Amino acid sequence: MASSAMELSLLNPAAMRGLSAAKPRVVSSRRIVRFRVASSAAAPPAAKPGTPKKRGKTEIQETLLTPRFYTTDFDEMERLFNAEINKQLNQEEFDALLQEFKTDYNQTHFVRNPEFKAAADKMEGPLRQIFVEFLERSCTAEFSGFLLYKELGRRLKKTNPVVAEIFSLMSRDEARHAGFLNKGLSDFNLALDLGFLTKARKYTFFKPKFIFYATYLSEKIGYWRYITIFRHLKANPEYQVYPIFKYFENWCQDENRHGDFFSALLKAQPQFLNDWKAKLWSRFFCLSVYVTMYLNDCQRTTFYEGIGLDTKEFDMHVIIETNRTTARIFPAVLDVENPEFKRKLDRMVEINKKIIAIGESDDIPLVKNLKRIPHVAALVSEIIAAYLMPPIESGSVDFAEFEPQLVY
Amino acid sequence: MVAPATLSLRPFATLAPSRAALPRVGAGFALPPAVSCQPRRRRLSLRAVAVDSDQQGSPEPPDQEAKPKKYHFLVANAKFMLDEEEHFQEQLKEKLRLYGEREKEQDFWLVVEPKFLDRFPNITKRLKRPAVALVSTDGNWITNA
Repeated sequence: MASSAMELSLLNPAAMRGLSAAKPRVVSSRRIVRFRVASSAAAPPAAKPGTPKKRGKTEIQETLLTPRFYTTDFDEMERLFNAEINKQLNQEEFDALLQEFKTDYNQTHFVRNPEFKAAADKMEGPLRQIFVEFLERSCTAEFSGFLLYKELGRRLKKTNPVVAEIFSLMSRDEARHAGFLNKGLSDFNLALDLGFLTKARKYTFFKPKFIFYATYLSEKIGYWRYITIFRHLKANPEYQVYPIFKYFENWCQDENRHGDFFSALLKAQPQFLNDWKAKLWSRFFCLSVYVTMYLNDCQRTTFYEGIGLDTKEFDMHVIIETNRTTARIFPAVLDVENPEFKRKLDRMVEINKKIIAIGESDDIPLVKNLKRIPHVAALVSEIIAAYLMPPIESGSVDFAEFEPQLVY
Repeated sequence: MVAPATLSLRPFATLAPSRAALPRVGAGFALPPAVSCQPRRRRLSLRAVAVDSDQQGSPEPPDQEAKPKKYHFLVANAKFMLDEEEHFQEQLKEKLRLYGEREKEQDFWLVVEPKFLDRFPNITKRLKRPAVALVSTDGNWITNA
């Protein structure tokens, strides 16, 4: 599911149906990942962007950029994965993917050590606060993926047991990630009340088609974010302020496997990849993901600078690499290497800063809203202009004209 | 990932020279029709940045009664596979780590310019050289790769 510190306004799937009363407790192989529950006063969820977290505040502050929970049309999902209805399903590829997930490369990987607490205790002041926010948002994002995948695994069990099991195994991975992050929060004397989040968060409905585009992108961009941070810190160990980053190399392979699965799902639904509507939606989701990430990260530039990264350079690297990977499956992608694209992103950052500043001012709400209008209009204008930049045609070679499978 | 036996090549401006530093498997690994042979096992130590093999496929060699195992392979241009994208190296590194942790016997190999390609002319004619093949007795893994 979505990567560290990248929360997507439109894009973190979650499921409500069947889960609203449950506190998740997940058994992964021989390990039990138990989500720690603490009072909301001790761990207020989802701090408002740009505003210091206020201890004791229990209301969930949601804005356009906070991580979201998603639900979908499960009946349509069942139809899409019914092998009798959908002849495009490549069951052999799903069988192979299932074996790969069952291998469980990270079964014994996410184990903590005393370094964690020691590193947390050393962190003080603004960096500590920002780090807590990073862990909290990342945990929420991973958890929302867990919820959706778990529900899909449950709902598809009769229709397509192989695909259902893959979803369940992906929820195992996301639960491990979320649990690991939540344990990290305990180093800072906090814990997310994930049961509370499950019940209290608003769920956004997304059609299956959009779940596929959005989730594929968020898993692949998660891969590039984690691996880029890992490589940077390996080359610059003086910035290794917290041991969780040492686990990012293996972590990101989970994200990449998840992305590969969604790639197979998309190829199993060629109607999502081979017409003009598919091109428009592909570009839309690319733009949504990239803009959301860029605005979020620039808003929290102190975190990335705290680990020795230039925030904008980091984001552009991630965007360019993700775009290259995505070009293998999406029928069209944005031309993100056009310098004008970055200039638009940078203008959006400046506009977003003004909107945030207005939000933090002492004006009454009505005045704030009036002041925001021209800036929101400018932001929308930049986004539309970025969307209308000439795209790059792309797509999977699996659909290219080739000789039939070679059999010997 | 790609379906078995689908093959595609990405365009290159130039061919990369053969990389002498890359690990090679002994010439014994040729899959001759009447002889059963076991490839020599060597620990892979990639120095090049590897590439994701998204666009490669793996036809299965003919089953031989004399051989105890069936081998599957995936073949690509060496520059593409080993240089252009890094994820391939990461996948192999992860797999080696796992095999070490679980004390599992190695069942996959990376072969540069494999001689057995001569037996698959339909692939060879579309493949830019030098070629590299990922070989394994685990067909599922090759399907995934």
